[in-house]
Amino acid sequence: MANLVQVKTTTITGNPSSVTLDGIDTDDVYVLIGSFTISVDTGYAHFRITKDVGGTTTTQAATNYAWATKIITPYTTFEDNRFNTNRNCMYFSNSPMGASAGESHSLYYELHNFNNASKESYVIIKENIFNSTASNSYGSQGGLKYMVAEAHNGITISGDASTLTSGTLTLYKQVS
Amino acid sequence: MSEFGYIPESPAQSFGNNTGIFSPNDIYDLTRADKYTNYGQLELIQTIVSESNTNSIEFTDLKENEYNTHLFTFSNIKSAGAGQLHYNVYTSQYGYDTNGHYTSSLQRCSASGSFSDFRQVNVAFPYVQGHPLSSVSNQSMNAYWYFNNFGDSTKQSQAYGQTVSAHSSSLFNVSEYGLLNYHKPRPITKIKFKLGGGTIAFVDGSTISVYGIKFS
Repeated sequence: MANLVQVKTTTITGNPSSVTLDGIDTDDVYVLIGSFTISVDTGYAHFRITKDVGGTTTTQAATNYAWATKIITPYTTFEDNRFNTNRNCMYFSNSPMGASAGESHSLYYELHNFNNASKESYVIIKENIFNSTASNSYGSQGGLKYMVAEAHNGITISGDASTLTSGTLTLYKQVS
Repeated sequence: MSEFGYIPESPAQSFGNNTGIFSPNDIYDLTRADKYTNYGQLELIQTIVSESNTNSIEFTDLKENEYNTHLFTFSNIKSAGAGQLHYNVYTSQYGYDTNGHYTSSLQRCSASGSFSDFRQVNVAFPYVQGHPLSSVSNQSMNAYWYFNNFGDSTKQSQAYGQTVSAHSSSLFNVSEYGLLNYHKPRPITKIKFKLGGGTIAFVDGSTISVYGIKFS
């Protein structure tokens, strides 16, 4: 079993609008693991890729995000969730997120090809998210592709109409 | 280095607070004592191999205050009869909770037949795999599940995972992936896995391991 070496960790304090975990600088698979909460019961959280621009980690917000996931919930028929154009981020579970007591949002993302300047970057998604409407578990599994062949160095998670209120997010390098 | 003729004591070593220059033997010893700082390691907590036709596999020391995320791996899980694999958690308020505080939602992928949703709401015995396990001798179920928030008294526990096995009757491949939730924000100190509501035995050799992942 592969081991995990911590690259960067963030414990959320002070209600930031976003957190960034960078430090990807090898061709290994990286893993983002964590759990977080948001401030508003109908807020969203967004996932964006970052890259090093002249020594500064810069969030990528062009419409290059494509993903295909299955939204999984015990309460209703599972849904296909897919976009191939016109998305400048990926939003968790394509749903307003919950912020009721006891609710948090857990994720395990595998990051592939981020350091490779000649290939697009890929993310394997596993997440267990609460929906705001009925406080239901509303997670998803599938994959994301960032449609630009360039090197990337990390990710940013940001609140949309919300802030991040608590939790820990950690970026690991997966080593054999 | 001595000072004024005194030889200083060795500094105390602990995870996150190491002082000194370490030899490979030092690192080995400190790591085994969980006193060597190595952020992010995937640490084996316990492996249980079923024996004596047990009806449950139980982990009683999850070290929930040390790890934010727990990884369970299921290897060569064999059932004495066709039954689903489920779990229950232990909290100080409910003991082993069978009060309908769980949900399970699994995408079932079958090599023969259609794909389908599998959903359970407010159930006492949430399925880790919704499809009954095969009891055929040369077949088994294998899986992984990541659980979060075991040690957090303010958060419900959440899990995501994936399984692969054989259909209990047609014997074709069946795989499932999805979510598990325990809807009570309570610290979870133990977990138990059973087959068919505890009525079916694990065939000897079924193996479950639990690992902890340290965030910081």
